[in-house]
Amino acid sequence: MLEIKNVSYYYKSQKDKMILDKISYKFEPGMMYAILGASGSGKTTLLSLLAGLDVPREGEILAGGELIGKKGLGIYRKNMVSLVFQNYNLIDYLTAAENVRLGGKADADLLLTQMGIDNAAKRRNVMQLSGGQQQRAAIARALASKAPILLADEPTGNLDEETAKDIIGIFKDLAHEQNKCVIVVTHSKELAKEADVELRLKGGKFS
Amino acid sequence: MNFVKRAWRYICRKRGKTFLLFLIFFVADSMVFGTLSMMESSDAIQKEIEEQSFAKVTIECLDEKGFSEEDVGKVESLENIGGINRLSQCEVYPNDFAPVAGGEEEGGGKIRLLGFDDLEKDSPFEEGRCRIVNGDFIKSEKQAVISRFLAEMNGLEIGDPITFMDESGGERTVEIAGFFQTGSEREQTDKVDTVNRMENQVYVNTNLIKDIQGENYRKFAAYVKEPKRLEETEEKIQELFEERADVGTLDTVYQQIKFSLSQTERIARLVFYLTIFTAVFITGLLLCMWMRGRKTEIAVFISLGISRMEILFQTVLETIVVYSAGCMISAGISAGVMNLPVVREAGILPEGAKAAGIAFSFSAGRMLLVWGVGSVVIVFLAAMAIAPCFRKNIKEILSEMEG
Repeated sequence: MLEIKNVSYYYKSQKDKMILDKISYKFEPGMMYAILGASGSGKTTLLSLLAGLDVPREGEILAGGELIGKKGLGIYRKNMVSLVFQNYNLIDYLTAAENVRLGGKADADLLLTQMGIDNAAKRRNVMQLSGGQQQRAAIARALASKAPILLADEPTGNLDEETAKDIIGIFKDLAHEQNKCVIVVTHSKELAKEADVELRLKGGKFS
Repeated sequence: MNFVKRAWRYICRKRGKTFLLFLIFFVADSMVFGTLSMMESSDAIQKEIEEQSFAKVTIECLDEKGFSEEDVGKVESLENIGGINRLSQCEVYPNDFAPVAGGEEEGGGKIRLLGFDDLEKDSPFEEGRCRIVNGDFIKSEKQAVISRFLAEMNGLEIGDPITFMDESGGERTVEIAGFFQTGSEREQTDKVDTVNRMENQVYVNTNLIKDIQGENYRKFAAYVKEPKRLEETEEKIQELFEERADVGTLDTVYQQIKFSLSQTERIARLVFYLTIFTAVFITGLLLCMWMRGRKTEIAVFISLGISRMEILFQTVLETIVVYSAGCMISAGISAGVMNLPVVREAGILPEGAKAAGIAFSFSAGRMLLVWGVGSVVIVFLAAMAIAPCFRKNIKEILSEMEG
């Protein structure tokens, strides 16, 4: 499904400090992966590379056996991946429902209801929602996409324990029932325990 | 959700930013409309002043035949000609009044009719050798201006009819419109023939003389619209008549005001270009700041797979909508304000321009032109403003947000 081959990444200003150092891995559909690691270990960088938001300095990333940039990263991002950002990145002049519609053509109302957002909140400007509601709206936006890969950066970071459990449940269902490849970057040990595979980044490599 | 819906929602919901942008466009457009109006008014005033400087080409016939109506028509149809003043003359016998007697022993008794299309120009009245002492200049073909002394001698008053007879015995009657005096009547000697005496010159309309002796103009003046092209016009007229005519020019007044006029034109254009530059510069800066504030939104759109072209369309559409609103409202307000009596009477336009009927004009065509050109500039500026956001690494933009 999604494969990284000898991927290296460093910042141009710090060429001697490898953020990712020739890592390789094959992510399969129907599985939920948790990527753990200390701050600055390169988790978010890896997620950005998988999302096609940046390109590796060395190595290659393949989706369905094809280089992700082959048809253009824009097409890859639109058709193959959906993203949940650490700080939600919702569009501040749209309602929760409209933000979800940006993600895809799925029923925005239904998705938001599944995320526990009531009808009044769906129609409110997204900036008027609580942090937890915003996080759920961001997840709903990612779920609106029919993309086979879901990438999430600290998706439960701002949620209460109960909602976090619900979200983890949704991610597991997406992987196991909808056969999606769910890759979650997290610090949460609870979330990592629920994942099918735990990957730990240290010194730019999987350990 | 397509870019049109997103653009509309941005405009409706980001009211503060939209209003700020609208305000800039409104002020910029008002400045452009204002200076454009002033520049056009300045051009119109300049043209009017140039025409009023009465620069002319004088054409004097060198053969006996004189100029025909066709000859005059050829000159009149030249592009730069604004008006014609035909000059003609003939001698007639007075019927119901007596001329001031001259020095000849016999064969006297004739008076001379001097014909002009416009008596105030190209005549002794323009040169100051004659002046109206009572009544007015002729206004129609049935009027005449006669000497005050001739009138006194015959007991004639303003409005009285006088009749004269041509060589073939045809009679013509005209009404006295005014009396003239040269001031040098008494300096004439007794030896001057009757027909040549100043008192026996009668000023009439050229068409009256044409009626008496047919088309035979000894001289005419062609007034030009653009004095700066006087020489070119003179050459064209000379080509028309070749050796038949002596062609000359006169533009003394224009030469006196030429420098001031060109200075005024230069200043008006400088103000206009400065306004355009300022408007474009300020709008460009604001758009850059505006886009800079939206770089995260743009990065999120890109991360969601929305194409850069669609994002550009959205921002261009938002900008064009706000610009159009600013343009229309500023055009409406400018048109309204400039035509307010208080502004029209404020002395912004010179008295001469008011008298000539020149006002700050405002046309739909000009508004469309400003809107069209402005829109192209706005699209360009919006594209320039958004380009750095497109070039920047998306991950880096989103990382900035995450701190």
